[in-house]
Amino acid sequence: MSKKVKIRATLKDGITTVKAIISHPMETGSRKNKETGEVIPAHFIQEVKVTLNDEVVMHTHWGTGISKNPYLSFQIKGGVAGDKVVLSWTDNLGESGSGEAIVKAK
Amino acid sequence: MKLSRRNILQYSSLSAIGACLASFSSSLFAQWPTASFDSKAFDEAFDLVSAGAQVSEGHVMIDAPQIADNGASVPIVISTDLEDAESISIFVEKNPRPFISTIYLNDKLESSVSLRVKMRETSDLIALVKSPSGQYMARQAVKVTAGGCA
Repeated sequence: MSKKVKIRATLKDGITTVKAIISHPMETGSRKNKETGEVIPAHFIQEVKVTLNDEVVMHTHWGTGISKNPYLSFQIKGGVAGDKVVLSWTDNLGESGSGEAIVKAK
Repeated sequence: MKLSRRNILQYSSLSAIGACLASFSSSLFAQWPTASFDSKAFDEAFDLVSAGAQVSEGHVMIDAPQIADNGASVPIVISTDLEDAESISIFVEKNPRPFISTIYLNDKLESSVSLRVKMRETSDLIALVKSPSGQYMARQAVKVTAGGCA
């Protein structure tokens, strides 16, 4: 299964805006397969961290109530064009993924 | 989808955070709060997250649609005007698991975060902000016309 992170970081007026979409099923564990009636096991992201030049600027815990293919957007004070932003996530099954972007001035 | 321009809030530095920022080791960060996320009743989840402390109204803003066409993906923006806020937590009162997320704030972050949440049915959204000066909350009703599998 492809679990990609689309991420973008744009700098404007001294504020870096990060927007990210993570490809992930975010299964709650309470849905059933309509054909077999079997419960689809929970599979969801529990933790997301974002770094700006290796410094953690965003840390969040998620439960099953975050939508499928989660969207996350926030603003960082500072940053300059060329800085590196890295998002990494881990889920309840121990899987993980990451994506990175270079800060671009708007 | 409505995306409003967020206010650029004045926000002073939190001490002590800086020390752990350099490291990526998860042991320095709060652990995933299993009991809170597993809780099936809003009151119980809220008490677990707020640690039973007194919670006042105000200082936290929810920007969410009043009517959501698709409960599987409801866009929300949560923000606070507290300069020393430590975290923001989000709940959907009538979801099977009401506790949605906690965002840990620091002095590098503007105190506004956008997410998309699942809402099984029409419900209140609740945001709780923790700060050294106390805990504050806000709620907003969202009418869901097609529920998401929360």
